[in-house]
Amino acid sequence: MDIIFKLEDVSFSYLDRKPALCNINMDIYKGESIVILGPNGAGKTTLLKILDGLIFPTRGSVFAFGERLEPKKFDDARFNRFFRKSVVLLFQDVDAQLFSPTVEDEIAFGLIQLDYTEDDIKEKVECIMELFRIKDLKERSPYQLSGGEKKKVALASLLVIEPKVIILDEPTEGLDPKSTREIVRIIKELHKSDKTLIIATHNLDVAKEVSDRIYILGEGKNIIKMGTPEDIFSDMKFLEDANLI
Amino acid sequence: MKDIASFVKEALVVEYIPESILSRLDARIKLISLIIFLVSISFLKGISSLLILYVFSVLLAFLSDIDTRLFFKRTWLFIPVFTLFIAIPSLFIVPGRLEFGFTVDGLIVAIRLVLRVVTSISYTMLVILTTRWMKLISSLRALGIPEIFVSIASMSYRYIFLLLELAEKLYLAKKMRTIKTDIRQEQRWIGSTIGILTVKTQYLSREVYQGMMSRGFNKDMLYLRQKGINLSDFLIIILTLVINVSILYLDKTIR
Repeated sequence: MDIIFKLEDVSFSYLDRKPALCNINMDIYKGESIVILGPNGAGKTTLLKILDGLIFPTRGSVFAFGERLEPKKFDDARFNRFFRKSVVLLFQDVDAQLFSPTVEDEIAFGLIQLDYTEDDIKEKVECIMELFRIKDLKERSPYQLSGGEKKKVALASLLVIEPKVIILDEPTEGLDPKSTREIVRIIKELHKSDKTLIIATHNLDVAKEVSDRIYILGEGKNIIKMGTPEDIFSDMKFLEDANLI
Repeated sequence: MKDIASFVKEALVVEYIPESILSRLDARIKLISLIIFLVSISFLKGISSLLILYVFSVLLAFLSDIDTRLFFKRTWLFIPVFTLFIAIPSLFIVPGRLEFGFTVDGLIVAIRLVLRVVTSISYTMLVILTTRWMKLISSLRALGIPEIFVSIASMSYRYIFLLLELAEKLYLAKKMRTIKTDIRQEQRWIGSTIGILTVKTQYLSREVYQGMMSRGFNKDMLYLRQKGINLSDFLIIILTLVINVSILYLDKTIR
């Protein structure tokens, strides 16, 4: 199997003082669905941002598609375009990710930054809105939407560029049961279409339904266990000690 | 606080009107036409000429299916009222025949100023309400407006709603825990809120920046690559010029 991400002894500290991640070693293969479980403050969001090349480790190395991720790598316009087209991240706080006047503008933003033509943009935006059943939200301002609608719009704005890797930070947090089921349905369909998924959550039901492998981050900011869903969920005592149940 | 936030949101939320006469026009053509109208308005001296242009803008709004109540609210609220307050001194300082304690010439100057402002805002609103944001921004760049100005305008628009929501939440959080108020405590609270808002703003700006980077933004903002302008679009410019030259000529003739 092709390896997409390789993390070697990755550590990260905020302001060089506050540790957020310690000695993370991880391999993620093409087409896998990886779930990262962990209690609040374990470093899940930090890890996902490192994978998306938004922040860089204070120690250790991150490789994506065979290339080492570092700030100067993204100064190369070709690599930046390739990486940003291939990997997307759904933020935990989608409000920070929705910053355009209308839903249609929001979905088009990524395509404009990747220099698509006006006709291509129009076609792709119409298609994704149809797929997500959000055509009626087209002219609405993202700030006027409900939590579930915001998540769908944010997800649509990422998937419109047809990425290979989709990173999701707490995709079902704060959603009602119906919206949660809808997001889980979308995640399952993405998995079937051979996308690589990396999902951070502390929702064990979601983890059981959509994962091929699970990594557990502990309160020590390191990986305390890795395995298949069967391995992980067979040891309930471990999950309780890890503050997951 | 809630009223201020609602007012600002209402003033700034762009409710694009799709499928109207003006929506179908190229954004660059609309901007050029707007500039022509604004220049004419600044040169017009007669109140009747300004009124003709203002009524024309209302007619265009009606033909473009823009809700007239919304249109009047957006064009008359705040800026023209503010202008009226600025214009009031001219009622007394412009020399002329005195009537009811103010001069008639001063009244004409005040009315002219307010009419210029409200007519300019009306045409600007017509463009904003009938043009998609991404096309508006890309058209500003296409017309040679400096990148820094366009970037700041679009970034400011992005942040303002998030900041307003943040400020509203801070105020509501404080309100629900307040039993009795004290002026000194309120002042202390305002001071600390400014500090908290500054810190949260920095956090928010980092998150929004990362959100933009995650979707391809890399130092230089790219704008929508619009298609070429048609012959029919150039005809609109010619029509706009004809209308404005005619009104300028009429204005000169009447005076």
